[in-house]
Amino acid sequence: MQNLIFTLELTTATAADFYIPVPCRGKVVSFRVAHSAETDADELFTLFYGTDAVSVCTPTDALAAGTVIDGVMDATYGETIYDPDSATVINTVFHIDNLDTLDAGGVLAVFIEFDDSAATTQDASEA
Amino acid sequence: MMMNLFATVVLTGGGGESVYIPVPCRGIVKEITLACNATMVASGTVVAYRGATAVNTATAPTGNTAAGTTLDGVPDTDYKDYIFDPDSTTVANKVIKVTDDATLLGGAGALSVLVKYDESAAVTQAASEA
Repeated sequence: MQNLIFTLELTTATAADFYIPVPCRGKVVSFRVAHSAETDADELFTLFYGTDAVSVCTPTDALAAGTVIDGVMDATYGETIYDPDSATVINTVFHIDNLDTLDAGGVLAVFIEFDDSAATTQDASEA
Repeated sequence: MMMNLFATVVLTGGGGESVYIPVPCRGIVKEITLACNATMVASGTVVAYRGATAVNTATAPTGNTAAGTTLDGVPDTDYKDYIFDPDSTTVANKVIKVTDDATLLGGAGALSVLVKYDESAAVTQAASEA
């Protein structure tokens, strides 16, 4: 298991897409975030595979800055395999976005628990 | 064992903007991989440095690199094995400096960098004794 931690700079009232290269073949086990500003229930943070949501973090209203928000894994796409060696572009990056309903910009810290036991030393096409 | 170091920086597009990543232990930069939410324009570069010495350079290819598509760096022939060390008395050895050039982006963008960091260069004795 790998623990991937990074930060994203968010701007008020602006939806933004971020793409982060995946380090190896694997799948997301959990996704959680903490924002440096207060968040509300309409300010979702989503981890995508392409345009399919893999996990969504939904704050409660008036959630204090610095509170960890645990994502809920999608029933359909929660087991999606990422692979940096894939020829399919969306397999090679974590796509994370925030909505334009974001009330306050700031720094979003992201923690992804990434199960690399799906990694193989052979070509993915042979796995 | 390879460590994964991530950094995401919002760039204005003007170029020459740097992010400094403190190294966690003695090691070398094995690979860098980038992804951006804006197009990376052909011939634009992102360079990983130790001090003023380029250890790895990613260059957007002809035809550009689309938003959300990864771009791999190429290790420098001469300096790819430069050792970084958090315990070094030389400031430049303690951080990986990552810088874009003025032609990389046509405007603002959020650039993510994944550094594959080879810690097998780490030693338990003092670096000065290595």
